[in-house]
Amino acid sequence: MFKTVKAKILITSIIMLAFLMSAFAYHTIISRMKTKQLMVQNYAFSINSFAEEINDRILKSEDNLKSIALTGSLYYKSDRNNEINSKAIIRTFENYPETLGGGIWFKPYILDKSKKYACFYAYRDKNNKIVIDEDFASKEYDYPNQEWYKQIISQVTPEYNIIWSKPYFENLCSYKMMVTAGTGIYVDKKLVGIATVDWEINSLIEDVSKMKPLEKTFSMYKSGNKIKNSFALLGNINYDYIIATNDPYLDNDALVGHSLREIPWYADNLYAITYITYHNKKYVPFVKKMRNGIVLIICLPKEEMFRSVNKFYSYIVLAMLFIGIIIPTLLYYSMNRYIVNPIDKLMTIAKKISKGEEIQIKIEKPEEFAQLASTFDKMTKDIKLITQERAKINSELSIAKSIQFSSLPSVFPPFPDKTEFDIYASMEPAKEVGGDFYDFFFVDDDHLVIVMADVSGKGIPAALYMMGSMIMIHNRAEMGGTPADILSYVNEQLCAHTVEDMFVTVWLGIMSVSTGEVIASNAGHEYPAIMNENGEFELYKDKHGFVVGGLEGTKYKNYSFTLIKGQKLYLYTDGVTEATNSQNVLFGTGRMIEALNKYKDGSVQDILTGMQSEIDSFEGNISQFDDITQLCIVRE
Amino acid sequence: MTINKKADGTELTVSLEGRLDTTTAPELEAEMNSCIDGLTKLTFDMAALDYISSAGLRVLLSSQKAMNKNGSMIIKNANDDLMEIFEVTGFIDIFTIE
Repeated sequence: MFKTVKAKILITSIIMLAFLMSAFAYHTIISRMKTKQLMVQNYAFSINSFAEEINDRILKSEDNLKSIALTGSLYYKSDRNNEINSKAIIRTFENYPETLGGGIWFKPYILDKSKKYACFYAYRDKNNKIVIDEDFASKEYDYPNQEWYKQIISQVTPEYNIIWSKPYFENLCSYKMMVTAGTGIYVDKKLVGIATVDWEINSLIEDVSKMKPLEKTFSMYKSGNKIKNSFALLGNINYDYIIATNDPYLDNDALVGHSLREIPWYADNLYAITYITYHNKKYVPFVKKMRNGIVLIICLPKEEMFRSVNKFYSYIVLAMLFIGIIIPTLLYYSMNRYIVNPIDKLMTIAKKISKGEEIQIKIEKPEEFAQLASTFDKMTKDIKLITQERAKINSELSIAKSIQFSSLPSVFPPFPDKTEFDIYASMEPAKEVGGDFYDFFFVDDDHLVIVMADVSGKGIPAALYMMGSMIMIHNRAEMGGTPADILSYVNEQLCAHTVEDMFVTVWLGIMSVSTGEVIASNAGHEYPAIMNENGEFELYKDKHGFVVGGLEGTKYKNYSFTLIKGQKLYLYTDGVTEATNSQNVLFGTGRMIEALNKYKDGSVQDILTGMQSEIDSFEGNISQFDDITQLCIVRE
Repeated sequence: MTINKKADGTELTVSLEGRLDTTTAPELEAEMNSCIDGLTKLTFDMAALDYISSAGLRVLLSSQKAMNKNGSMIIKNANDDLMEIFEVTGFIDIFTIE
């Protein structure tokens, strides 16, 4: 079933190209899109979990802050034992390892009217040991005048709300960029001071820098590929300041504490933006809002995010292109090999054969062409035989035609010593052998027999029938008798000896050349045209008998007329009247009489050639279908 | 040429259309040979026939001869051109023309 070339090509091309390509293309587009969506979700998830970590730290710091605040209020209400208080602070710090430092700051003079500064500050030293630093309760530092203190104390409420200060540079001991969160210490709803925890900004930046999301979408892509060129921004949108950023294009330290709007790519509606273009690169921003207006924004380079996916799909596209080239190439090759080449071969051979060369065709495969070649071979031989046969038939036909032709009188003038009349006859044969004939001969010195006849049908049968009937008429006429006698005899003979129901229409006349009297009989033949007294041709509607050879016992009648000197008699077959033009219009007797009268004054030969040219111009480029046989006689 | 045959028992009507000449006559002859046996009445309807040549007349003559043995043949609706041909050839005396 799959052996044939046609099937092979059809199956290969339909399945491989249409199915593969379109399905692949569709699948590729869809899956690439879906994969990217999933990857974005995946990145968002990993960023979320990181943000949750930070959020958790904030939460814990805030918890820590509350316990520090509680410690502060207890200290205020109790006997104000510094040592116990310090220990309590240290303990809370131990419980919250996320906190770098922090402490309790009382309002000036609130503990002791003589003492302006009262604070406890704990921090982790280099060995991660928590120590209390009392240097801050100094005139040099003057904490009540620090920005962070003023900011926090101005905003605290008894509900222990958390206030985040703007980042600031701590220039007393750590010399680091800090951000401080604080809450109020209330005793009996009276604000006595604030509790704070500190974050070192550098560590935050470090944390943010560590934020490198992983590509962990599908096993088919390289997993665990870290995105290198991401950057993050931590800020506070409630107070509009930058907490930390690691933007590779900015002086990040200088920007700390500044408005978020100083970040060139920052926008309020960043969460709704698919990607931003920053330094000629596309970044996908992931925005995560956290507690107290703190927001984490991570920008991932689009190219890196989808690198593995794009790579994977570019391989697919390459593969598809490859298939798209390979398959047509293969198809082309196989078409050439299995179809075009054998056809070329056959064509070349056919050309040679048509030039008459004898060539044996050999094609072994594919199957169809092997069969075709052998059929072709057989056909070539058959054609040769047929051609030979036809040539034989054609030559026989042309011999038949020339025999037929040569049996008609064709030397003009036929009777040079007879001056009483002039006669001319012609037969313009059609392509095929026909059955028209004419004849004229003397049966005695005075009587000229004139015959015009048309055998039914065409071809060899008509030609044979014509020869037979022509000879019979001639022989019988020489025995004497009237035209009716002759026709009756010939009719009986033909009816007795033919099986094919053929017949012949005959006009037979015997003219006395001395008197011009014509005795004639018409056996189903066309009306003769005779010149009247005015010298005009007209149809002579004579009495008709039945065709000769049609029915046994047919009787024929004689009639007579006389040709006076100068009068002409024109006889013809239906080849004249039934000549047809391209509109299927017959030449007809009307046109025939017209033509005769056009040439009536010419010689008998002029009349016949004139008629022939009229017929030719009437037919135009339609080829002559029937023999055109005419005879004209004039008495002189 | 188109040949339409309509049989009614042993009666047959043959309607001819177009030209009955040397080229088309063999077709009619083959048709007639295949069905003429046993017919009692054969009618040729020539209403749509434009032309008839001697070869066509031959087929009609064959049919006439065959029908003469055990039935009748009628030609009807022949136009003036056809009637002229029948007249010229003397067939008008042989055929029953309605």
